[in-house]
Amino acid sequence: MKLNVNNPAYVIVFAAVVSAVFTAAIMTLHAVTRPIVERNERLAMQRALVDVFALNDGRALEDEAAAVLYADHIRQVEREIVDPRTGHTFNVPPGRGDRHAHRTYKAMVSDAGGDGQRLLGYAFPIWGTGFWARIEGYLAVSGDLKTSLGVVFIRHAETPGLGGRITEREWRSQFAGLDVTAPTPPGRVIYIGGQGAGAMRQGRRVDAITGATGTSRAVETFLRRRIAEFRRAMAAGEGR
Amino acid sequence: MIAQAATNATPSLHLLLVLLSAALTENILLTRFLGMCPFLSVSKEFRSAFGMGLAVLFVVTCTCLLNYALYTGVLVPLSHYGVPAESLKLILFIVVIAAFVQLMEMVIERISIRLYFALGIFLPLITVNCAILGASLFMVTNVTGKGYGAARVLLYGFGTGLGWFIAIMLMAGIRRRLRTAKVPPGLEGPGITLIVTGIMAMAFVIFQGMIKI
Amino acid sequence: MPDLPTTSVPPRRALLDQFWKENPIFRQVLGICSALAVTNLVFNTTLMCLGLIWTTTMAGLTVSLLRNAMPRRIRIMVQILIVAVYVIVVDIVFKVRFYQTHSQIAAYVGLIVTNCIVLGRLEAFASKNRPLAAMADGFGAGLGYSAILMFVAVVREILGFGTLLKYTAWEVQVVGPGGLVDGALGALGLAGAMDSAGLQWRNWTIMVMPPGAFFVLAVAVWLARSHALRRENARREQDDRQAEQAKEEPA
Repeated sequence: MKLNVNNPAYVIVFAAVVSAVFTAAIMTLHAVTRPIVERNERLAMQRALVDVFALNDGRALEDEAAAVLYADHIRQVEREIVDPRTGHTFNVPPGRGDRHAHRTYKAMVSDAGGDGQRLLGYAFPIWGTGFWARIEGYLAVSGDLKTSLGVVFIRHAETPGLGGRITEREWRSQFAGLDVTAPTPPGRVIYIGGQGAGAMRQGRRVDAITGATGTSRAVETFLRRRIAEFRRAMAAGEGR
Repeated sequence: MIAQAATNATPSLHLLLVLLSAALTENILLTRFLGMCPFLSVSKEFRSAFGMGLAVLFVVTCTCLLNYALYTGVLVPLSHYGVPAESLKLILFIVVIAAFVQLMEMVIERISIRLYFALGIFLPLITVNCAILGASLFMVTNVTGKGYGAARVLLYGFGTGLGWFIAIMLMAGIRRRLRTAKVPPGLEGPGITLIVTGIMAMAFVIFQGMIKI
Repeated sequence: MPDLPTTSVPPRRALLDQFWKENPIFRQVLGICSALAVTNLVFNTTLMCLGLIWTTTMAGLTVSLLRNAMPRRIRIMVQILIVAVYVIVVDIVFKVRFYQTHSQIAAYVGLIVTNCIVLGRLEAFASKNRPLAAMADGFGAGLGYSAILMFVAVVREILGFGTLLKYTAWEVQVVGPGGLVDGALGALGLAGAMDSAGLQWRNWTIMVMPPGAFFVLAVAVWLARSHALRRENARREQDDRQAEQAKEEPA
């Protein structure tokens, strides 16, 4: 008896079997590669954090060297950090939350006097929509939340050579030593691009990227939001 | 100025900006390169361009909503049980789109035979229109998890389709003029259409950065 | 409804036909959607092409293996599903091996699924031919498509960045200071000729942006089409000449 390929029952069974087989194959491949992907992500993050605190003196490091510096100086912040107004979470306590939860880190460096360690600053997650898709990274600020130490981008899908240049060291180095206190009158916290005039913008302005107006503007927008939210979140935490 | 307005916008203005940004500043065809195949072949005739544009507009709006509902309602909850939502969303979206278009074909066949014959060739072409799948994929990264939910997705889908529609209508009009122009032999057809598309894309670069949500 | 017949096209013929004679890009310029966006860097394009060739080959094989079991009605959907599966495999492999580049091209790798060429070949060839031939056909189609993309990418990167394989360990500066062009001029004894002529290389930023891709692709199509037209004319002239000779013969 020849199997009627167009029998409705057969159609449904065929579709179900094919879908099940292929979905199972994908899930298997995903499960097998997950450890490697997670390891890559962890290493990338350690490198990024070492970079943003400038613990590497501005040089690119091998994975092992970065991991050592990370282990020596960087810790995750213990308490929960949530902005009361928007509900955005900047830190979930260590051990809680999943792989994608936002976490804030602090860097401790040896005191000049040689006794104990002092707080260098905090690195909190920044995120937002770039020109093409989501951009994620960290902004490092001094312990008093007044000055920025550096910025690093972990994930983005901007055009290579244009918006993609936000990851370049040269561009990012502009973010060391900027004034990130809340401006009076209220305005942009960090100016990306534009001709800075007036004392307000002194110490708050970085160059945009030629040909990447969209990305530059987007970064400026979400940086401002995240800085304000983080400041509010830290203040809310202090009160406790 | 408009960028500043976006950040302080009321919800309704914000939604309007989502629509405008999807249609103009991030035009799915001229800025993101998607939906070129049918764009190049169907823009030859004004009438077919119009039909195709409307069909794409309808399909992309509906499938964006459908995919958003399924993604947030099914895949994301399942991801808490270890199901890789990121990898499987591609399959989910494309199957939903193909099924939707198939369904649409059957419904149109029942309702109006004339319309069915008029749209005949387009329907299978719509399934493989990169713009439709692309819209759903970009929707996940740009739109979800930001509040405003379904309304925003609806306007994003509609804006994307509208942008594609505008692009193909512009191209159809230009190609009509080109019929009486003296085009070098090697450039006839796809060649000159690509150059015109490039110039149109340059024109749309003006809109970049105007609106930032 | 009768089953779709199996025609027998030998694998080597299938591959050659796909790559040269029927190269879809040259004739139809279809399926360029997803891939154009990545062509501003040669390395990204290379990865994209590898992913595409893998997908066309494996999908061709799979569809051909299933061709007799596949119900008519859901044929297209199953083909799309098969392509999607192989694309996801590519995506996962890229995430593991090329982590940095992955986020830049991820969206466009996903769009291989709606690539008209891939689906067109599956429908036209793989569903009607034996597995080996279908695999070769898919491989040839992917190869031809990749050739065009690499052409566009090389032109775009050289004009837009002045380099080849930028952001990789094999980066080569082509134009601009210290580049291959300078080296070539030096070898010809013309070192410094550019500077004294007041010529200085400036990157063509338009080539890094979307419009650049359209222009370069138009030029590629132009070149290919002109070549094809010239060949056709030459052949037609030859036919005409032969016809005239045949006419004069009996006289």
